[in-house]
Formats: sequence, structure tokens, C-alpha cells
Amino acid sequence: MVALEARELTKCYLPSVPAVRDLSFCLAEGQVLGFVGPNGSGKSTTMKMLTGLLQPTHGQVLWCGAAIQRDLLQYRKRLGYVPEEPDLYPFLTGWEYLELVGTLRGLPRKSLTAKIDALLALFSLAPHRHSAVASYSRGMRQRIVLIASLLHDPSLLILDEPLSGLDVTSAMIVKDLIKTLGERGKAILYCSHVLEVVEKVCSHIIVLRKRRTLAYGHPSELMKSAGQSSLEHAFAHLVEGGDAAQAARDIAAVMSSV
Amino acid sequence: MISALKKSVCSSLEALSEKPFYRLLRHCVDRMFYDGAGSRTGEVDASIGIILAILAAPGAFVSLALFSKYGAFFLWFRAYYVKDPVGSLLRSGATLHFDPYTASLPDEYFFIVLSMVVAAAVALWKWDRLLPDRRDYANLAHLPLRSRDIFFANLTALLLLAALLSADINAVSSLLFPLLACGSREVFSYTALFFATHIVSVVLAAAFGFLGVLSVLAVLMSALPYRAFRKASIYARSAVLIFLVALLTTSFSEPAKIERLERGASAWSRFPPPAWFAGLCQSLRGIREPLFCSLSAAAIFGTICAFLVALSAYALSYRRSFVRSAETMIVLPAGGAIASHAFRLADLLLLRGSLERAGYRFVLKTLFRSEAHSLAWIGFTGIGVILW
Repeated sequence: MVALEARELTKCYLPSVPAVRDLSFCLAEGQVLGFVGPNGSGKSTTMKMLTGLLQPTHGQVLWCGAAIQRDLLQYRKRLGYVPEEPDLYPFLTGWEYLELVGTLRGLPRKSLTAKIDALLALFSLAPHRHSAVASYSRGMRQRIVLIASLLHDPSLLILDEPLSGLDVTSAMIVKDLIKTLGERGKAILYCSHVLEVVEKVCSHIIVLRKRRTLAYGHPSELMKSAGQSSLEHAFAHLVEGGDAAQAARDIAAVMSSV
Repeated sequence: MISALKKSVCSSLEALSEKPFYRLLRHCVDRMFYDGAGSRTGEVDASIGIILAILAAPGAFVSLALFSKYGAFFLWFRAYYVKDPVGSLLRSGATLHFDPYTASLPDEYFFIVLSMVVAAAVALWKWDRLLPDRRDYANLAHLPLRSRDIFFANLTALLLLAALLSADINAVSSLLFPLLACGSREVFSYTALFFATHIVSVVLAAAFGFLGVLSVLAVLMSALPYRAFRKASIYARSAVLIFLVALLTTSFSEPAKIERLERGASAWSRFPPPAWFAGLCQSLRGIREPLFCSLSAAAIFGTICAFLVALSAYALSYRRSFVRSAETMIVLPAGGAIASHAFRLADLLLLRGSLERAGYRFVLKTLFRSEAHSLAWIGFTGIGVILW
């Protein structure tokens, strides 16, 4: 069943300069949809429209067949969102931040406390739960944001670079978690530049280029259509159209030139 | 019975804290007090207890210092005496040697200035924390919260902060000063009236100061694009700070001016805002001078205006800067252009050696490393100039 649908989404910050143009896709329950594209292709703008932070200039976002703007509050109750940059309150401790988010989501205190403690322990943050976020590393902040997005057991997860700053173990846990949540019927939109991970965890992929959809399908289909052996090469072939190895050799040559 | 009451209060407080709006309100209050301990912004930070103690201290010390003016022994020593409670004396036409209402006007003025300046200075200090910013947007906007809930939670937090500041700044002085000033009077109602009018004046003055700074902030935030606002912020804060220091200096001249000036209905325009509240205080004490009536009307009108301007500008800035955060690009001001020109000029005229240049640059950049540090320096320089 289709959970989230983007229908002809267009966003113009300035008149006649679209940041995203006519973007359409469907995300079904249990599907993990990869969202990839070069810098400036409109990924962040799309994410903001999908979370309801931005109003599309044209088109609409549908949740279970209804426009999200009709009942944004109900939509956000079902949404878990990991933004690109974890800009947390430095004066709160990790535990306090999660308690704040959980309470603002209306979760009952007793179950919230137990959930926070359990998730902090599972994400190896239990020893730091009463330290101020200001003292956290980038990876620790990222884990706090991830926990905050999972606290209310959302039906839809929108993850913008969720592995950014994570150590190897945490990254492995999160990758497996995404797969598990997908198998449990959650609809997941996964935005990343790390194509090896996208290839591993996503069942479908959208490739954006110059604010439009360039390709949409299963990773193996995309690789096949591009005639490449990996998603990374397929992406480079589709988006850049250049030879990455040659570019690397050219850079090295410039570096060593007098 | 007490433990049952305590238990019931605790459980109702706990139930209240589970409600999203009250949690949001608590968060808004917290974010105004904590600047981000340990953050990399270089903000000057202090805990709530220290801040409140520091704010209450000037009023307390000045009240104690006034003992020499109002203490019964000193009054006797100076041959002042009081025959009767005020009122009966005025009616009988006898001479009142020491009238606390008249004698306390300069001190009343000082307490009003102090209350207004300190409240405004705190608002200035917490400038970046008073209105919801981009960090709040990043953390709260995607949660299932109505935009108006965030608006009202922050507004309530602002009003609570203003109330707390007014109470804290004036708590000790409001108790000590009336007791000292009216110590020679035997009628309780006289002291009570003095106490009540003093509290009304200083609290309104604090509210006026706080709301005035909030108005400046909100107007700037709603009128300017984010980048321009960030650039203009330090200049606006410095200008307000200099104005506040100037207000402090009026403590020495204005009371005498009030006493000297010919009485007129439009006389209020010739006085700074603290004088309006001093006039209100005297007016409430039953001194029916046209000047005091004019000043008290200005005080009430000014406070209402400050409240309305702050509220409407806050609503506008909330819509423009917070609700529409995602629509605007985050481009931080480059800054430092003026400093760079000043350094070049200094290099040309004063600083010859490279070590000298590097040393001066390092020291000045360290001293002015954040807005809070710059403001502290501007404030101390202003006070230094006055004392000099």
C-alpha cells in the first residue's frame, strides 16, 4: 500500500528559478527508497517539502492518499525525521533532549523514560546520558537525533544522511536497523551520498539531477541500464557523465606540477 | 495534612509537566537562561542563581547606603523632626521639617532608573535568546506542535522572565527603602502607601525597560533580512547599551530638574522615561502637581505602547523569522570589514613591527571575541567615561 506520494512537486524560492521541478514518486509501506543526487540537485528542498516544513509552489505531498497539509499535526505524529545537521540545544543533556522531544510528541512519561534509557543503552550512549550535548562529538549528536526520530515508533522515516559522523559499529547498527524497520512495514526515505550504503539498504532508488528525476527503479535495474557493475559507477555515469578515474589522475598531475 | 497537600501539589505538577505545552514553556524559559554552557560560541555564561543574586545586589546595597540619610539617629542629629503624621500637618499649615515623600524623590528616581536599566540590560544580554531562532526551528518545527503553541509558549516565557526580573531587581530595595524612608513616621498606612507606590513605579519601570529592548529587537528582526539583522544586531545592542548608561547618569541631574522646572501639562516631553515613573510615583502618593500628572500619564501611556509595540513586533518577527525559516537561505554575515580597516589604519599610524601588530590583533580579537564580550566592554567603557 502506498504510504507517501509526491505528486509533481515544484518549489521555487525565487520566481521562475525552481529548486525542484515536477518531482513525482511513491513510497510504499515496507519500502526503503534511496534518494540520491549531486550537490544542488534539490534533495534538501524535497526533504523539507516531504516533512511539511516547506510548502511546494506546485504539486502536493500525500500521506495515505490525503494531502499532508490537511492535517499536518497527524502526519507529523507518524513521521520520524533525521535532519542533515544535528543542531541540538547545547545546554541540554542527551537524556533531557530526548525527554523534551518525547514529551512534545505526547508520549506518556513512564514508557518514555523506559524507552529513552533502553535506546540510549543500545546506541552506546548510556554513560553519557547526563552530559551536556555541547560536549558530544558529531557522531554522538547524530545518534541522539536518530533516537529522537525513533522514540514514537513512526510509520514513516525520513533520513537525511543518517550515517554522517557515525563510527563503524554504530553505522552498521543503523544500516541493519533500517533494513529491519523496512521489513516491519515502515516506509523509509533514505537520502545519502554514500552509494555503497544506499545500494545495500534501499529497495528502490531515485536519482535527481538538475532538480528533476533522472532515474527511478531498483538498484540492479539502474546498474543494468547504465551498464555498470556498481551503483557508484552507475550514478557517475548517469549524473556526471565523466570519467572519475581520469579526473583523479588530472588532479594528482596538477598537484605535482611545478 | 501538609504531606498530603505536598503530595497532591507534586502529583499535579508532574501531570502538568507531561503536557506538551507546559514542557515547551519550560523549555522556552530554560533556553532564555542558559546560553549554551560549553558551546563553542564563546558566550559569557552564568547560572541562574548567580545572575539573580547579582541583579538583586545593587538595590540592596543602595538601600543600606541610604541609612545615613533616613535613619532616625541621623535625622535627630541633623535636627529634623516630625510632629505629626503627614496630612494633618498640611491641613493645619504647620511646617514639616522632614517629608519623606519630597525628600525621597531623588532616591526614588534612582531606584526607578536602576530597575529600568537593569531589566533592559538583561534583555540586551539575552538578546539572542528572547525570540525563537533557527536552532528552535530545526528542533521543533518537524514535531507535531502547532505553530501558535510555540508562539504562545515563548511569549509566556518572555512575560515570566520580565516578571521575574522585576521582582528580583526590586525585591530587597522595595522592602528596605520604604522602611528606611518612613522610619520616622508612626502611621503604618503612610509606610504602606509609600511601599505600594514604590513597588508600582519600579515594577512598571522594569517592564518598560525590558519591553523597550524587546521592541527594538523584534522590530529589527521583522524589518531586516536574517543576514542584515545579524550584522545590525551588535550595533543596535551597543546603541541601546550606551543609551542605558546615559540613563544611569540622569540619576544625578534629573531629580533637581524636576523640582526646578515650571509646571506644565506637556512637561513630560522634557524628561527621560525614568522621570515619568517618578512622576507616577509622586502622583500615586497624592501629590497633585500638574507636572506629576503629566509625567504619570506619560508613564502609563509609554508602558502600554511598549507592550503593544513589543507584542506586535514579536508576532511579526515570529512569522517572518521563525515560521518562514525554511524559505530563507542561511547565509551568515562575513563581518570584520570595519575591524580590518581599523587595523590597517593602526598599522599605518601606530604599529610598526610585525610582533607589535600581531600582539595587538590577538589581544583585541580575544577581548571582542563575541557579541557578549563586546557589549561588556562597551558597557564598562561607558561607565568608566561617566566616572571620569
